[in-house]
Amino acid sequence: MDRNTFNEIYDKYSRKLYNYALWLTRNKESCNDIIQAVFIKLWNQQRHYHQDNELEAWLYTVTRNACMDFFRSYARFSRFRVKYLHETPVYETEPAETRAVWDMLDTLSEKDRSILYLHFRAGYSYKKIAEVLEIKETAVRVSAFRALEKLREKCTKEVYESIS
Amino acid sequence: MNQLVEQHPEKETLTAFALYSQHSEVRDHIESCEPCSRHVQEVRILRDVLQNIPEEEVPETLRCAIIKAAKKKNPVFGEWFQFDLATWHKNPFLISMGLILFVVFCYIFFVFVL
Repeated sequence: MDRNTFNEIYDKYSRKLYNYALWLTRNKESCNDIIQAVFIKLWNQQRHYHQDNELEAWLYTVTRNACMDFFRSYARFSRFRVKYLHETPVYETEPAETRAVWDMLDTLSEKDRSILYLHFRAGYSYKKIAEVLEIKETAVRVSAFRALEKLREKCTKEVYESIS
Repeated sequence: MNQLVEQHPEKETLTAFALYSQHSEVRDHIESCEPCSRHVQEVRILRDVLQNIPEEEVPETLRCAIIKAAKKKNPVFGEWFQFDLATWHKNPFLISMGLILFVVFCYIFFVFVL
């Protein structure tokens, strides 16, 4: 891959992927490492993508896998995650209502957060998300609805009033 | 109408209506049912919130760090031809060429000169 092509792809996707990684890990430092790993993989790839959609889906898949590797690299994943996130809150400076939403999102699994991000922020269809996450489309749809329902139930009246 | 109010649609149906305006048959029900109307409203608020969480900027130094790390890990072939006196011994292409020249020189020396 030549430098110009790399720069084009970087300019187009780095922000989306960075925010996707942030959505999953909630930690800026780890996001830098994750995005670096993703783009190094891209750099080393000899494959050429004929369609932007194909490349974008591949990048999201690699980013998600890199996030999972990042979590896995710490042996006790769940214990680490809770401890780590509490030690390094990224959104300390965010308004209270945004923080409330982040705290709610934190209660969801990585898969559910991935689905919500890809659907509501990246604008992916359930079919496309199924390709990225390598699961069935019906599973994506069910997970999305359940995740939304979980968020809806967790959201107290006060939170609704503050964010609406 | 009362019958409609009593038979609340499934939560999934309400969510689908809130997000995509699917299942338009529940529209009438929602107009007359306060809990279902609230459900739809809450799902829409959540959707808007998820869509509008502000994005973070990518650190400006990240691009250079990536290119530097990528080159270190896997230098592009063209770079092997660049001759640098200070680091010639780290260049596998120059080392290979030097070895070949050395072997050829030795062959010529031993066969034709001696």
